[in-house]
Amino acid sequence: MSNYLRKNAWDANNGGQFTDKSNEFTALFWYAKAVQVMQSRPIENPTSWWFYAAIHGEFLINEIKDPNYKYLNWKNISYISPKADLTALPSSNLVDSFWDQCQHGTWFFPPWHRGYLVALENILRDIIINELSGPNDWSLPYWNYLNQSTAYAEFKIPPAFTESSLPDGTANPLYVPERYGPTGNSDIYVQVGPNIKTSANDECQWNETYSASAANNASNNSGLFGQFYGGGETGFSHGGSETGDLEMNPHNFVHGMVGGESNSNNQNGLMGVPATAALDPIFYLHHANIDRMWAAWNQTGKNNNTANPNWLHGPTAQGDRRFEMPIDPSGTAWPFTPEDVNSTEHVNYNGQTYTYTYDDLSLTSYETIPPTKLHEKMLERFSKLGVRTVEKDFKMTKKRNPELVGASSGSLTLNSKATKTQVKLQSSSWKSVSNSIMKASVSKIPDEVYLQLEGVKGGSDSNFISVYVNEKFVKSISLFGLLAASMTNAAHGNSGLNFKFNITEIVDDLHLENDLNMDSLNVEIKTKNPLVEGKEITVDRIGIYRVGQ
Amino acid sequence: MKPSNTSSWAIRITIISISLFVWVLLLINPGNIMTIEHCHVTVSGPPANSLSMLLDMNPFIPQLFGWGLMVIAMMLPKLIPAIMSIYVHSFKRYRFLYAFLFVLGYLSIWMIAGVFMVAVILGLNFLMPLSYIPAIGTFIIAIVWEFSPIKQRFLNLGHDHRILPAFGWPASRDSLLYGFRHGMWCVGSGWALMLFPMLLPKMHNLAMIMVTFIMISEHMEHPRFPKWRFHLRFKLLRILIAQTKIKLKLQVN
Repeated sequence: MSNYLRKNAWDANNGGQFTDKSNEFTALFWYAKAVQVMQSRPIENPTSWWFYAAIHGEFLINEIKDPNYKYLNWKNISYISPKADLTALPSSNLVDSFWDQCQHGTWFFPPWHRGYLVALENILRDIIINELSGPNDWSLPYWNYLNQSTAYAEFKIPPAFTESSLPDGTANPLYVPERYGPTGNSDIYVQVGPNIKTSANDECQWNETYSASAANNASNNSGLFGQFYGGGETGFSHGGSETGDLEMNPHNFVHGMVGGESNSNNQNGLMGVPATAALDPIFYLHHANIDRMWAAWNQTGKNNNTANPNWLHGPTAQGDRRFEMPIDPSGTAWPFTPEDVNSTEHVNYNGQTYTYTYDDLSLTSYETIPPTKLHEKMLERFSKLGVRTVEKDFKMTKKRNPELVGASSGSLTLNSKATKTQVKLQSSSWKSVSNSIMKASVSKIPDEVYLQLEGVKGGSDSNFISVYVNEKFVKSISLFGLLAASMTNAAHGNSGLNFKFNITEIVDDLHLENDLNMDSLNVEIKTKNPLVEGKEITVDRIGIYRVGQ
Repeated sequence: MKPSNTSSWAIRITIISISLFVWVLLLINPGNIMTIEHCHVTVSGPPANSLSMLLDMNPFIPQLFGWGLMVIAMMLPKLIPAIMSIYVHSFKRYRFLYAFLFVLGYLSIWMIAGVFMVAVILGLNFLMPLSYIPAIGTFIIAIVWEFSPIKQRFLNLGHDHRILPAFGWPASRDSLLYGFRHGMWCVGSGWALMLFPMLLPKMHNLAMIMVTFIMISEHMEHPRFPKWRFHLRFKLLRILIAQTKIKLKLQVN
């Protein structure tokens, strides 16, 4: 049984460098050398860097026609070495089996990426041991951008990723020019801090429910933040809207910040778009961190993944293609299910048990105070609404019936920076909401109210939007994955993305201010980065929903 | 937003019940609306008197009515995801109206296509009565169409579930237009498959059931990049097999 330890890219690598204090090579150096070897192989080789990146997603077969985004077609990306030989593609069997598999907007997001990393890590380790005579216990480092270390500014990308050459004088494959950072000036770091609306954080780690079917009782039915930790229940989802808390923040946020949009030409960085993200070597250190957080959520947080058979058996349970990774140059497949990667201690890797862990399994690195639990939060809500109750007095059911109560008229094109609109409320439906709040009691749980941005389309994947209702801030989200969801012949069929926001607290406040007898809500949407002509973001509709028990 | 489990099942059961009811009607075949009747004159060949006799025995309008029933029976279950989307994205009091307008728009497109299809069916029956050649020819065309990039484009477009306006006349109009548009993509992808069972001199009920299964399955597949591709789109079968295996495994454990 193999047993490996994944270590912090900053702390365990002499501050994110290629050599340690004794001038010995660090894990980052061996990573860079192995990436060099993989990048020297042509794309038709299933163990090449380029083939592995295409497993996540590609714009090579799925070419972009929109002139605004043609720079993302792989043939136009300067980081891709001529050795990739993009003119000779793998056989259609290999492409159909392996490419375009990444799982986003789904409960399969955590397990698919775990399997992807395990497969790549084994290919890299094989190269490090057998071709480079490196350490035989090498493991993928992780970049914990939320680590509040006093020794290093770990929110910054490790220096090894910004050097132009390696200690042996060869070009550094970890350096990617198409990486623009959160302010677009190629300073690569993750924005963290209480005063930043689009700040990355690890609040998700406090959520206790993996998915709807994992809710073991009604009191944690909707999850702490109105979403679930692992994502919504879907089939194979190469881009979708059932994004879980872990996936949205920090995962999507970090993709958007590291990729960024260049100030000079408004182009997205490779990390900012799913179909180019896995070309950038920092991708795998980011995902090692996300995988670490999931492992910590299970082990330290003592939270269980869902036991739903449709999750454990993977997308084949719903008639979709299986998850599989090539493990050698001939394209031998390691097919896996979420059940195979349910725990880092017992990964079923190609017929053998593979164990790895992390040098830090703290539940959180940034957020230190757990938020109020859902049950207490409900008690607080009752108290706020003037309902007399005692703990355990009320029972929530699993029934959740969403009903539209208001909507914007016509589609909306977002302006650069801020767009204001009114969302009209349908009087009789809205009355149900106000009645449920006014007549709230332990036996009549008041409605929750959600705002949903529906059919969001565009190509500003590295951008963020922040939503305000009646001047009050609701939440910020990343637009990672928007371009592919807006393409007609891609997996999402031009439906765009939907984003759901819980605005119950704001509606409660309106009630307390005697302001609930209204016929519309004022919604403001702010974009973090400016939008240029031809690259607008559109929203088909803004919907307001009540969710009753 | 997704409808609650109760609402989802209510929608599924209602639609499948309507579809099954129409299937029963089709299998009973009242007034022979689902089959082409022949006598020794029409069977003998294409002279003008046999055409008039063929039309006398198989009037166009009842044949078109039969076509409409066939579309309802075969296609209604395919509309479940779109109807669920309309249901959850509409105000409660308008859910039925908008869903109805959507289905009406969708069926209208198939009925317009049906005028041509029924004419082709009657024409081929006139030229080659009781022959398998038209069915075999259509089957070959359907196979070629099945693996073509054009068919994949139509299937991809079928996944374009637009969010409709919520208020007033625009909501009604766009529900109908959504039905028209969805119907066009569906006719574009499935016209050859639909024609095939109607041209079979025998066993066209069995062929219709098989075609229904294929058409529902292929609309359940995810959009893919359009190119020539040999790909059996049997997702429904794969789901049934996978779910049966899971249930059996759970029982054993």
